[in-house]
Amino acid sequence: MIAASELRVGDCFKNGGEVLVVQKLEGTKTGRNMSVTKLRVKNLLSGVTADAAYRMSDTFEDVDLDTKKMNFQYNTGDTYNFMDNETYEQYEINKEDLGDAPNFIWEGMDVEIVFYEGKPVSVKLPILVDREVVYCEPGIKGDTSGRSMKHAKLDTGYEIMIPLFCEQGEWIRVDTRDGTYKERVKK
Amino acid sequence: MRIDIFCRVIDNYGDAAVAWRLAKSLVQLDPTLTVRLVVEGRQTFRALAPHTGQVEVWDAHDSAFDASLADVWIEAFGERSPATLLDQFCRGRARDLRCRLWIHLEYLTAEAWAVDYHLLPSPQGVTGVEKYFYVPGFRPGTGGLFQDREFLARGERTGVSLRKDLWFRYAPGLPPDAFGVLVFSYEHDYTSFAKALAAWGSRTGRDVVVFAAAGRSQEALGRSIAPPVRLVELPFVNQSEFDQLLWTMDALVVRGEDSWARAVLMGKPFVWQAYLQPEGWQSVKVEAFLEVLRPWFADQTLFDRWATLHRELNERNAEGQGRGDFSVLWEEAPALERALGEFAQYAKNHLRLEASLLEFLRRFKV
Repeated sequence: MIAASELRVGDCFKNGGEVLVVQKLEGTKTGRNMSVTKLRVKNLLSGVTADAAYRMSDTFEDVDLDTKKMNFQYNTGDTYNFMDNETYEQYEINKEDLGDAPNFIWEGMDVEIVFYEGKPVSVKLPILVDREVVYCEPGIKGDTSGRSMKHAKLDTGYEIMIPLFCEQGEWIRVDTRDGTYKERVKK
Repeated sequence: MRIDIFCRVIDNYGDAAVAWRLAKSLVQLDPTLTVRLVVEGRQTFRALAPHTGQVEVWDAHDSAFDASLADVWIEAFGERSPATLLDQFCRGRARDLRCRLWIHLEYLTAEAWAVDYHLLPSPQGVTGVEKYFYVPGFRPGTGGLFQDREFLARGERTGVSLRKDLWFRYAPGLPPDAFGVLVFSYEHDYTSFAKALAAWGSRTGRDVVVFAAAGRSQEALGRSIAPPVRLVELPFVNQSEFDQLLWTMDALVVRGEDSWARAVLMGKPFVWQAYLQPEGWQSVKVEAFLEVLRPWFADQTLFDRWATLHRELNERNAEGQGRGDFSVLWEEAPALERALGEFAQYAKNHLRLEASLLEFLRRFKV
């Protein structure tokens, strides 16, 4: 069994006989230290995509799907192209099936591709990725609290809130589970 | 329609108080409903509601209880049992079920995510049973606030004579025209509160009475309140009595969920202390509430004072203890009543939880 709290973008699970892949997820804290999550899932049997809400403690059946390590090559806008690192075979995945993953992948990055009935259906991302800030307003020196945030754009095109002290050209660590800033990193 | 509501009795009856208010509000709205409240600890629950009228109250562990009789299950707040019992029951006897609709009732929040989550499906993989999130909130598009007709009607009946009678039960001799403040909060150092109240009382010549609700704040108030301010330490009172007491007050310090919602609907001067969360997350909830209320204040200076009090009361760290300029609650009482009263009126007209919930249930023709 897998708990809703353990799910990540790209994970597959079984719910009442349906095989679902997580395309997007967000979590929030409710009252009394509890949490809930909102998932965008695609039904791999019907192809239907839907939003659903769960308690973090809700559990689902695991589904054991094949995965392969592949290299992200390029995107054409609607599709993302990945190459098998061993056979050099290339696979395409529709952008809409990748959920939030395009926000956190870059050309040349190795990722795990999930296969269902021989077809690539999703990308499993590492929990943390390091990316460059390509745009933000100038930093404010001395404000190291991290409480005040500003808008920024990463080299993947993803827009994110970062602390005021971060500067353009710096690298930051991002949590791919919820797309939030974690810390500043040196590159 | 048969509705079963499941909840736990924990932490000064907070969750159970909300579930009980839901149960009785649904019946007030539609007396043809059959509503059963399923609680862990039925005996304990009696202290909250000794008379439950049309609502049947069951113990979650009563072997005679049969969840298959309901058309709708509402699990209040969801975590752990009895929701877990429900889950096991559902999976074990799915074919025998009459229930086709399962509602996860979430905690009240002013945060914007309530709009996103409200009425989202939560498929459980049980054939024929549909589960949905129902999220109470202060924003349009959320589940709204429990109104409780009986509670609102009490407000219209509250006058000097009720105040005199009710206050007499707990402290004979209290002047009924005194300024009454009820405090029902989590831990807080009330030193600044006591000093400010005493100073205002002596400056205005008004008698001041603080009613300390049973629970965590009572001890702290006992240490801080001194004559001429009177302190009345209340015993645990049932919800009906507590509601009446709330209406007789001039200002309120409330906590958690149910008393917070009551204070909002009353439109009286109040400050809310949120449930303490790791990493100070309660502040996120407080800020969201302030964001919703800000536009209702014509006087932004007044709003800032009121908001600062909320922030100080909710800091909950060592530095925050003892802080808080509570005087806004009495010095600015008429202006606060105007602003909060307008929001209360809006909430009563547009954030009607039980009516919206019932409408949602009826859509399923259960």
